Amino acid sequence: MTERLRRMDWAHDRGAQIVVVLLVAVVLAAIPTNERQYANLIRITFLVLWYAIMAGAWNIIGGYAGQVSFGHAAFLGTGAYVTGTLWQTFHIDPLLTLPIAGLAAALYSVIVGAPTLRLRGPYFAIATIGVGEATRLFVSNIDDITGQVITHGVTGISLPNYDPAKVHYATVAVFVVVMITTILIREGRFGLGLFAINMDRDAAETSGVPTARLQVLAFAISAFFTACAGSLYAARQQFLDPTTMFGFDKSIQVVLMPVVGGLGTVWGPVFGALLFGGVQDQISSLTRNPYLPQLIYGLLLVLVVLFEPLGVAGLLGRASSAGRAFVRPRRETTV
Amino acid sequence: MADSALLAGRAVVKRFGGLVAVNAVDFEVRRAEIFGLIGPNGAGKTTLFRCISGMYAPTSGSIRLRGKEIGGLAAHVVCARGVVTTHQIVRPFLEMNVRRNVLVGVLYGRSGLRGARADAEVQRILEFTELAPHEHIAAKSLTLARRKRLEVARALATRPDVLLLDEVAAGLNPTESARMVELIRRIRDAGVTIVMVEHVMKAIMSVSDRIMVMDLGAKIAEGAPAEIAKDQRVIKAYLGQEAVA
Amino acid sequence: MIETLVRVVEAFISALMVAGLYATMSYGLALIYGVMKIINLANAGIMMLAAFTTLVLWQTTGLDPLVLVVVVAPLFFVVGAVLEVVVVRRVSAAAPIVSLLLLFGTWLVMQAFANLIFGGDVRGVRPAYIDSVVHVGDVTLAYNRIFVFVAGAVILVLLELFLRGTFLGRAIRALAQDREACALVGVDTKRVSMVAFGLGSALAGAAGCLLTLVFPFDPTNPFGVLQLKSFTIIVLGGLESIIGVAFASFLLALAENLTVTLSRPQLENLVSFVVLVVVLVVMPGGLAALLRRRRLA
Repeated sequence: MTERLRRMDWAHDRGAQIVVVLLVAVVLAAIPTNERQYANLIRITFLVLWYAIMAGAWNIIGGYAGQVSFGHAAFLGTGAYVTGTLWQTFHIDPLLTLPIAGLAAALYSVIVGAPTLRLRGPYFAIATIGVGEATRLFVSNIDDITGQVITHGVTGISLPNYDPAKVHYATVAVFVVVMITTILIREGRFGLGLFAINMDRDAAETSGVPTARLQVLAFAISAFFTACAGSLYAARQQFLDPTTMFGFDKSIQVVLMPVVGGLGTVWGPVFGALLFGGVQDQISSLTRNPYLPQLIYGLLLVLVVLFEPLGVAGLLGRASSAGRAFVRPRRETTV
Repeated sequence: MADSALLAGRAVVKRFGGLVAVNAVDFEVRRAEIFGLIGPNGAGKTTLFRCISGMYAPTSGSIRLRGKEIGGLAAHVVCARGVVTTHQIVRPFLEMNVRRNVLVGVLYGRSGLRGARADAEVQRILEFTELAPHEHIAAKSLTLARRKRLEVARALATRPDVLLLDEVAAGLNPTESARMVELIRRIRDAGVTIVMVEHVMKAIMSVSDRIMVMDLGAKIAEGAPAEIAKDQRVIKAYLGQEAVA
Repeated sequence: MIETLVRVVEAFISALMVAGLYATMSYGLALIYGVMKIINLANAGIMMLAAFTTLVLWQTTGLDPLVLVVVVAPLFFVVGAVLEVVVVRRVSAAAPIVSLLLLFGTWLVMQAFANLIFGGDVRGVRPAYIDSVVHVGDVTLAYNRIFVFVAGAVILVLLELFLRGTFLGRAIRALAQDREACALVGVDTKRVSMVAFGLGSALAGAAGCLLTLVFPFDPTNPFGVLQLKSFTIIVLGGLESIIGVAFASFLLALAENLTVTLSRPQLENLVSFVVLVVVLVVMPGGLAALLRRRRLA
């Protein structure tokens, strides 16, 4: 018994979870991209996957390492604007700019994270609000400050047309990469270190965990993928403005999805994204008022924190033992 | 003498603002001994521990392990050099089970083991510390005595040369305390040098090879337990505050 | 040259005027953090609800917000106390991230609620004297700003008298210093936490009430930005003293005003956020810690 459990501890469902991710990806990639009747499905798929990428990326630093970032819009916007600029000015294919956009945001996250991740308790979260908002204001006013046309300020950048089919496949691919990355991190040594930091930073440090390095690395990986989401948005919408891409509301959404879905779990962010992308789409087709969804998500957040800290994943885990084996809802993998 | 010392401090000072918590303390710990550290509340024992383990940087002075300076290094670097501490108020990773708590020490300590071999190492340590039957219990559900054992097990998992134990017997009943002393002896017999702070006099007097006494941040005595028990300065320091148990 | 000087003096004085409001809203945050070690992210929501309550009361009764603050602040004391008992208390022992997310959710709910009830239009309270100004030499001052400053100062003085002069007030201060010791000597920490959260909310309520005279507002703006400024202020001013908070309020307001006067108006808020991040990183203990270090060195 213990022997079997012991093996489960290490690698049991790493492989199984990756297989599930790949199956989902194959199904999504099979949606016909050039037939009119599927256009709406493609649109919703993009929305949900886009959210899932951001939520999964945020979960690495917020859910695993327990450092809540309220400033991820800074990385989303950085990615979008790097891609937008390279595309418009240098005519580089936007999908090829993904790694560059990701690295730019990762670099920014290291500059910001190295000093702020040392802060304890709620102070990191507060600092990230400052970083996010400062970045937005900076990007909005950079043309004014430098006297050159760089971001077109709040009016935004219009980009050339781009094939939505390519964006669809690229989005599915990034989603797969994010999911596999989060699975491997969570089930491996790196993830164990992050959870240790999450639970007690001093104890982790004295047990040999290089806490500062691990946190900065987690933050950088998180920023990298968030920026990729920004790039995908640029290629899909072909329009960027700082109020949307760097907006505090984006930072809020990125926090809400993993928390409501299941903080620190692999599939929680996906559930959160489904809830956000799917439900939001439905609600906004019923009412034009964007505050009804916000009211619902706010209430959900409060209820989740009070009654089911593992969110949707936790509920599924309670509902069935099969669900538990699959979503592994525990904050940390125990058995 | 100097070259037989595994861990040596010279004029270690730690100041917080105007308060001198550790005042020019010298010490030498020899290989595979149990070195006790006692003193009244506020004597600076835990602060000294934290300076050695890297949680604090000493204000001045040097702390050397095998002749190499470790004072002021980050705690995880000190751990990688082979000095690891337990915490006075036990701090296991509460949401993790016992096994994974120990796994953190194995994967991030000096063993360098990964995968199945790391699992085997965890098993060995769980058995050594008699925690194996509880391996799947979350740390937050353990009794205090087992939490203290887990604290020791996790530290041991990093394969230290020097293990700093901060009050691992405090709060335990006499039976549990005796079992902890027995564990400490076995750890020493396995070749790990032990420095321990303890309030439970019986525990520390019976297990230590040598004892250092601190009061008000300074070292006031050092020697074998029997000598220390008779030392007038020690008796005065203790009776000045509280009667010796 | 003279003109620049006048503008700088104006910036100083107008910073002082705004500082009263800043200090009122920030001290509530500091009080709650001090006693409960919780960052009240719902502070902005409480300010916003207080502003709308004030608007409704002004429209129905015609009473000036300077009078209405006497009603609105106690009302939000009750709101805060209830919030503490019903919601916050449940997570008081959990990790900081939990209460942070909880109060963040509360803020979102309040914001959405106000949007659904009042709509997203920009509002303001405009009593008869709203456009009146007074001239002191070359410097021009608006009446509404003077009134708000005075009201803020009066509130803070009353609060300080309460914290120093009454048993409950002293219990709050003691709890902020050492929670465990208080529990040991028999202070009812639950009740004191409730009162502290209520007081913090009352201060946010008072700030929300007063700011209707100075800022146009909608359910979102300027509350989110003001909340960030509160963080900057309490981090800068330290969490212990009213003096520190007041001084930090003035410093921040001055930095903003000088940015507007000497540089570009769009950068006003940028200054606040940059100061926030820099202060958090460079001097986590705030000005108070910096001064203390000076004194000892």
